[in-house]
Amino acid sequence: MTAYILRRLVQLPITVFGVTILIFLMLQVLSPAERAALYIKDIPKNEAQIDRVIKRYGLDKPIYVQYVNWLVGTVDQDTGDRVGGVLRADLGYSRTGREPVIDLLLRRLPATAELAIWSFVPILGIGIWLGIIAAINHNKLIDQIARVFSIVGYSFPTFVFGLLVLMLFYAKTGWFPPGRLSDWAVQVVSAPGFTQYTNLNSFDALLNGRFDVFLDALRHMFLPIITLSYLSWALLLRVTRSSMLETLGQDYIRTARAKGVAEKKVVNEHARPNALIPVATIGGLTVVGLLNGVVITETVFNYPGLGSAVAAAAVSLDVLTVLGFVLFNATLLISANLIVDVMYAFLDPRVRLR
Amino acid sequence: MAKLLEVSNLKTQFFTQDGIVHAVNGISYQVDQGETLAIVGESGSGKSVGVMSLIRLIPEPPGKIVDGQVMFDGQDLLKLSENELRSVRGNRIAMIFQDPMTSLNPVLTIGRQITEALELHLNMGREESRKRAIELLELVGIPGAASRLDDYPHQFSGGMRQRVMIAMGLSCDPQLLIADEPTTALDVTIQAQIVDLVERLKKELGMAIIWITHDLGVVAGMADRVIVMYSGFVVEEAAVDELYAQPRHPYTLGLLRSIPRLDLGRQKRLIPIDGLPPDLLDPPSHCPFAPRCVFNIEKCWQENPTLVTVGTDHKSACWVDISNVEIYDPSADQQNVEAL
Amino acid sequence: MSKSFRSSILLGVLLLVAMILAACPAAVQPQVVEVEVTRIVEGESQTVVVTATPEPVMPVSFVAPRSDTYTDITFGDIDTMDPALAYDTSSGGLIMNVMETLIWFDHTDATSFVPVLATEVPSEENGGISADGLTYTFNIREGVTFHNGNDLTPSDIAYSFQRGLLQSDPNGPQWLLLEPILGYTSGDVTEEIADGEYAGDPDALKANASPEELVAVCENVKSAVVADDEAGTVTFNLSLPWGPFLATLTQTWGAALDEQWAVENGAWDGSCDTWTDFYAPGAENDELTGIINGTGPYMLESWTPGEGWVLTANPNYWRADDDPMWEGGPAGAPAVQRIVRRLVSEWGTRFAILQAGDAEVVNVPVANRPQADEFVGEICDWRTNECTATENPDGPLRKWGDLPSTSRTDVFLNFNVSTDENGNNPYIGSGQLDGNGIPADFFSDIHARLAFQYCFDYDTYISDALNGDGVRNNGPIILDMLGYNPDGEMYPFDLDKCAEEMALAWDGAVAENGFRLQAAYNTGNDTRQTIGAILQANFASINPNYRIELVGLPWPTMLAAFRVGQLPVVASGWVEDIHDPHNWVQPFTVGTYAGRQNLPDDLKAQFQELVNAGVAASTPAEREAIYYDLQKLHHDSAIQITLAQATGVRYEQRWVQGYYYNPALFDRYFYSFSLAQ
Repeated sequence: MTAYILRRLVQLPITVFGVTILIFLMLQVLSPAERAALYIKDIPKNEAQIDRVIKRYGLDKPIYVQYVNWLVGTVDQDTGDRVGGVLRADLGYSRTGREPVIDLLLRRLPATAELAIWSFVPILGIGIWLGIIAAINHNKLIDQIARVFSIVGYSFPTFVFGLLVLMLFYAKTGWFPPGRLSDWAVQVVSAPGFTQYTNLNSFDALLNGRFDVFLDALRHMFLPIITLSYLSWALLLRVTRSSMLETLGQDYIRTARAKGVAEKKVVNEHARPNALIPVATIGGLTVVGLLNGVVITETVFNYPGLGSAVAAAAVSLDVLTVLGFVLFNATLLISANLIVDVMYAFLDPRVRLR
Repeated sequence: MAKLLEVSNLKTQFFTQDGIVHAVNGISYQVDQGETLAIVGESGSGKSVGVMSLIRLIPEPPGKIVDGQVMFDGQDLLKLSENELRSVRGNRIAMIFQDPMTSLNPVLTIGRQITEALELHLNMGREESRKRAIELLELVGIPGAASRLDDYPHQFSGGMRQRVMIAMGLSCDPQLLIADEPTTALDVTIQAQIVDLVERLKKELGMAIIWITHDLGVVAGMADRVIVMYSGFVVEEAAVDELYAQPRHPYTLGLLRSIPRLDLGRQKRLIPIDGLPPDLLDPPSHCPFAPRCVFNIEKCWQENPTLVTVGTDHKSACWVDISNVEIYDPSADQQNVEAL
Repeated sequence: MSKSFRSSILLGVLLLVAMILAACPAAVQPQVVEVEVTRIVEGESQTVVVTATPEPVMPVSFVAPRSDTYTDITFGDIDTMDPALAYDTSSGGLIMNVMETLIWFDHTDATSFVPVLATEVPSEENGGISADGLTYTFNIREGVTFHNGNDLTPSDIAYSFQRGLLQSDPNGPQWLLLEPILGYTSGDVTEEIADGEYAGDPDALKANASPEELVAVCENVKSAVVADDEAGTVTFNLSLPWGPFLATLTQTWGAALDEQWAVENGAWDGSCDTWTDFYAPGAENDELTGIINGTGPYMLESWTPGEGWVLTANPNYWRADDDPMWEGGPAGAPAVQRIVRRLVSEWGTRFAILQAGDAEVVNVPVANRPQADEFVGEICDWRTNECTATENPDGPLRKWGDLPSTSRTDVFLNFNVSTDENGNNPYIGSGQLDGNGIPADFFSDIHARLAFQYCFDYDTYISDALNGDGVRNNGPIILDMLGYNPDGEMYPFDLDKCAEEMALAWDGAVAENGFRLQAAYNTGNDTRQTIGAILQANFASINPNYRIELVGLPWPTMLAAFRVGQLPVVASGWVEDIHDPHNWVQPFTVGTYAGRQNLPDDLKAQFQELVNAGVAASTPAEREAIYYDLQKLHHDSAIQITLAQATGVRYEQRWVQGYYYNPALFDRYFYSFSLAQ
């Protein structure tokens, strides 16, 4: 098992850098003037602006030079030292984020992580529960309702649903505002007496003993979590349901019943552990999807996470930010895949490798 | 002696999109304490569904036990509540199944699967049930039982798994063990081992056994009495020797003739039963075996024969007394004809 | 079909219907309140002065829920907080509230000034402006402190300007100062080194220019802006007389930095040996991008990129209670303690916030104005401060309409588009007048240009693209500005005339064969798309062979095509930098737009002469006459289709007080606001 994990970890940087080369290669298609669009938002005010920007940022240098600069940094003219470069943990400057890329990613990550952590249980817990309910009430009314309910959720475009719940539960009533924190809570959090251990507002609030801030943070997360959940339940329900139905038809379930085991125990102790094995993959991918940053939800609820930051960067051709995000994302995906694989071994004894 | 199990007119049907499948059409039989009853029939004869109906393991929908009575030790199992039934299952009536590969839960240790029944029915504590489980495994002949308690089913071979199933079945000292083709999925040598094991356990524990099989060789070796099922009906019922010596139903005869026999010398060819198994969706009102029966007469096509006594402790459902009928069998030699 | 299946279908349908019904915006039911309320401001404005804090009488119910915070929701983050570098309205909006300039606009009047850091506005009468218009002298106010406690001295001001000029970033506004102060028309401070070869490239500059050259540039700058701490003055020595100079100084790039604070934070130390280290840095390398220290009524509390910023009132603001900014204007400490700007890019979300009452103001895009209109209770006029009730008199919002913006989108016709070596250009079709394209110099023919003038439906443009909020201009200069000729001619929308002119174009070849060209717009820009669609439809209605195709380009492609002058017809907008006619005529006759239109040399020369004369002329009357001539030339040569100046609209909660509008301001001046308690 250890050897397996190590092997997977070694593959990671190779895969990641392969992706970065691919992205840089795609840039070949763009001319320097087109790449200048990152720095110039609308028709320039004075004629020479475009040319000067191209010169200033070296946009007309060949792609491989730019890639090498990105990777190992450039030689500083005055000191003669090499500065920057990914290998020196410098991902460059994010034009759209107005700060170094690594700082941008780290700054936006807590918001995404917080949302992911608080969504994890509702999404997986309720989704799987719905699937089990649907399976054990196969073809009865509850099954039909659960399936219709989740398909409606799956078909709903995210932004439509998001705006809908925003109108219903905020515009008219003010219960669940968009954003991360109310203004008063922001003031509390940035005041000197408040220590930001994790930058996850809800947890920091608890650690600082501020229950009111904690509730405020949850209040703001409520609608995004509902939105994310409702749209994911369909998939989880389908997979869990079909897996559960298949499991319930297995011979060993018949054996358990023949032993006189109560139906509830049959479902929970005999069927469910088997049924959840394929769901593990879906669950893992769902979590990865949450950590990627969910762009539309973040935009509708004004939740400043990774998704919206990187989307803005991509639209403006902010290559450095996108590349930094790719590095982060690839690491995340591969780690998540690894964890799911390890979890498989945990869930299914047949898979355990010596 | 009161009968341990008395089945009367059991009828089970499956309500499918294509129609109603008449799987069990009013069967009746009995099992004494300590007796081994073999149920013989081909696929689709209703033997598995019949025994699963005894402890109501039929999934409802699409199945339903529509009629009948199953008296077990004075109680009608079909009328028990869920709770009462569950205390019978695995406890006083145990069932083991055909495919040991799939009949054990792959994610639970075999120790857990055995102790579960013990904890459930005998209220044993953790320690006690584990000890008992080890005893059971030793009883069924699993070497190194103590260390294997926490192993998973996939770590056992087929034969071992079936032994584990047997151990599971016996864990609460049942009065009746129902074995639904337990050796069909195993190879012949293992099959012999399992049969021997069950025989030994039966002697030691004194339980009754219902053994379902389509293999007449196994029946001859271990059954006390036999019932033969066809198309959801019991067509013949007799003690084992009587059945083999004097089959009174054409189907039984056909079965017997289609197995190789050592005492009949060289035969040029085995004699199968012509025709196809019956369609359970649209059962005829006449004898279900008539289309394949060499003895059929006109009455067979009009009315379904009921089970009548044709000898001591020997019942058969046929309009024809085949003991009096000579069959011309061109492929058999002189000796066979004279033997009949 | 089984019963349970049917019932679940029914349930699903019910669920869907319920959701749809819930989503329909409920019409706001105004509560009927039996209150006698006078709506027109009466009596208070009988004096000449406009009331500084207009207080439309309103029902008691409009009280600010957050008594000390003014929240404003929009999109568009700031770029930098360095006043020398900031060149977008978002950055400008923040800087202008935190830092101060020598002079400021007098309330709603964009053409007259009040002194701020200076003690009076220089003019020829008081000697502040020399007779030849080349020297401007400002007396600097005493007793002004920066937010960090340092005193303001004339050296700080000189430093601020010198630093900016030497920074000369290609993305920045310094080109507006470089021209008048140093005479550099290229807009870069290194113009005299190797003919501006290294403009925008600090590495090349340092590598190739000689130390003497570099020092010379610096000394040149230092002698142009001179501080005299003893006398308490700052003097600007211009290279040429410049009418718009005062207006130029009034924007954020004229703000005062604290030299000591700047140097402490790593900015240029003022020495002529080191200035190249700070040349053309870009926002990412600018030391002062993320920090700010000003003299203004508000201080920066925090800026979170991508999320917004927060200002708090400056408790030590220098302005005394009895010294209002303009007559009736704000004085003393700011009335609103906290200003919060939040960025929300999605309109639906902004709208929800507005309805929930969690913000004082939100940005309402043109297309969504009808939605916001449903909540408007009174409409006010920015010139008179008079308000009238709407049909929904208890609506929570107040609307200020018809705010003349300082932006306009026009259509530019390229006299000679560029082609590649094979003579191809994707936007001119076949490149011949064979009905399947146009020649590269199609628009060099005046009749072709005139046809385009007549074929544009100006009214539809205003109603469709601008939602009715716009007013046509008759030339480059906008309404109400010096040089705007109210009697100037405008081309009417006239399909017959259009057909006539097109028939004359290219000696009838166009009418015979037809033409085809592509009009480009950048995707997402609905205004520019609508413009293309109008031209397309109108030409097609005259003659189906007059084909204009619309092509939406991603912004980078558009930028690249624009740079090389590939587009025959392109719609683009100009947002004013300085509230002066020069800032309007320059780009549209010789500068960034006209410069790419490949005008014939003689026409170019004519425009250039007039532009130069207009900016150097000494009196407004002289300037006006010159600009009248210029606009006549512009109109007669029909080089562009001049469209409409958009008018803006502001929606605010009715508990907000103190709003005023000045066309020259990039953003709100929060100092004037107060909240009803």
